[in-house]
Amino acid sequence: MVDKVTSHQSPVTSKKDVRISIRNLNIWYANTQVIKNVRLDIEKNRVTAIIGPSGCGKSTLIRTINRMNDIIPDAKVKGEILLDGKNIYGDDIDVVEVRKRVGMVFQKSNPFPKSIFENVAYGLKINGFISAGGRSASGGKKKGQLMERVEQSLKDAALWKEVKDRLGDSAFDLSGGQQQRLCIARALAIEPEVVLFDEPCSALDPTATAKIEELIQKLKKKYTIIIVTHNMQQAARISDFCAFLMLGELIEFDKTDKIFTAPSEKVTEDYITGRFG
Amino acid sequence: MKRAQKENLIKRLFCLFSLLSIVFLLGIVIVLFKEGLPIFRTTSLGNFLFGKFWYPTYEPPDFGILPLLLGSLWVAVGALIIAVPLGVAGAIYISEVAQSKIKEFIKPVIELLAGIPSVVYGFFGMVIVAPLVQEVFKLPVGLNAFTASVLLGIMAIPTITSISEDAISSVPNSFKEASFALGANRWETTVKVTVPAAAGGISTAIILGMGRAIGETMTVLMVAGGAAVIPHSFFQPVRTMTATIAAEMGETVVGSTHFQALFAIAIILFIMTLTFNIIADLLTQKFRRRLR
Ligand SMILES: Nc1ncnc2c1ncn2[C@@H]1O[C@H](COP(=O)(O)OP(=O)(O)OP(=O)(O)O)[C@@H](O)[C@H]1O
Ligand SMILES: [Mg+2]
Repeated sequence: MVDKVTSHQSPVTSKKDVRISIRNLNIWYANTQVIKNVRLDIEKNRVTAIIGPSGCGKSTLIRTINRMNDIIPDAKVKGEILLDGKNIYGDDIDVVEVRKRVGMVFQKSNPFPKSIFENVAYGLKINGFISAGGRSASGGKKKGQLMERVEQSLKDAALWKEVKDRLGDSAFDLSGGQQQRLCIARALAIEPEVVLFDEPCSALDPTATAKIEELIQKLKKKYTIIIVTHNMQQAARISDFCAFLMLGELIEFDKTDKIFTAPSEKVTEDYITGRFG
Repeated sequence: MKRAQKENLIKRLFCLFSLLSIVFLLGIVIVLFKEGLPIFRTTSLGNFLFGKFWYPTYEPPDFGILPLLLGSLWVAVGALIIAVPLGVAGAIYISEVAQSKIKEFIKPVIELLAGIPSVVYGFFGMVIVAPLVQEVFKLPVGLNAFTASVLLGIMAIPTITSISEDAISSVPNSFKEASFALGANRWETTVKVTVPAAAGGISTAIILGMGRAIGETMTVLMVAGGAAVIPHSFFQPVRTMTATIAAEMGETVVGSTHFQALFAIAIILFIMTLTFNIIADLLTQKFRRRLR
């Protein structure tokens, strides 16, 4: 299937709208290849959904985009991922820098065992922001901005109203959906360009899910978004582009409307209509 | 026999065993208090705890355990000053830095350290550490609080390391992932996420290490110098509560005031260790709740 023309054609209209370009990506865990020659262009300020049956490599694919697979000792990556034209697997790349530009929200919400405020402030502090009272080692330019940025991130994540009077409380006191939005706020705080979501709603109820979907819709004005989801309706509702992955191969990649109304591959149709997977 | 009956029997057997250990514990506590409390007929609690002189064989005798209490505390605190940084750093190294091969080598070695009998530590201290301390610090004697602290510190390291290591490695991977995804490097992640998340377990480790250091007898008996005077420096010989009991119990007349005083010291020790264990337990529980 790799040599099929359809899987290589990009639905992205203009080259200059491309933020991320995945080229001939192959990934192995030890000796098992789980991503096979994937090519994918991700457009700026759009939501790109990755769908596919369980175990097809969606998480693996999305995690390579901010090099989270580096943490797994026996993962091997070959190919290129261009972020604004620069290969993030190149030799002269600072991984930490990549992760600051490409944020990630995980399947299971994973706030730190710290206060709500500290959760959002964590990434900022790592990046040299300090609270108004503190002293900066790096000249104090970012002094006092910490609180502002925390507030803004919580507002962007549509959580501010619910937590503004209890920023000192433990993050674990929040509900599941609130915790996930806190994780989103935490990721947004360091102002990434791209935000990766790996099944962000799989542990949430419909109300909380609706909130996050609405949020993602808003976020695409500022960010480029890639989301892995198991939920076909969700992909149809919130994404502009949709990539269908199966057994590590990219079967089809197109505008979401097209994928859901007139897919060019029979397997895609079978999958989205729920005939398997 | 039917299965249900069999299971019932086993259940009862285990219940009996656990009851038995409670009975033993109760027995020990009762004996301790029965033999120890009568001392307070002749010496007030205040004079006992804060009396500056321990002259149990004088006429009239002085049963002030302040020198012994302070001796125990000095030695234990000194031990912690040595053991906490080393033990916690070791735990961080084992769980966060070391490759699995090195880890598999170091862990058993540290556990072996815990298995060495304390008399061996004491012997090692007398023959090697004490002369070294005497030489380096130009002291009249090498048997003092400092030497005892060094040895107790070494002895407390395995406790602190293995419990801290458990706590650190049970920090969920998802916390670390979140930290990495925010652009933190390994060091920042360890210091700002992993270790704070394991803080409950690490404090438990430290408190249990403290308990171990306070309760240790043979080593301090051999290397602390044995002078029952209020210590003013780490390089003075000291006597701990445990060493006092061990050294003097054999020479007292059963039921004499000296005998009662030694039991009363044991009561104090018992209360101290009990307190440490309760604090450690509370911390562990709090820690579990925090991580869910
Ligand atoms: N750390 C790992 N080591 C070895 N194999 C792995 C590892 N992580 C994932 N795999 C394997 O790689 C394949 C792809 O896994 P991946 O998690 O990317 O799938 P997925 O599409 O995200 O699945 P799901 O929808 O269930 O989350 C699976 O066969 C999985 O067993
Ligand atoms: Mg997955």
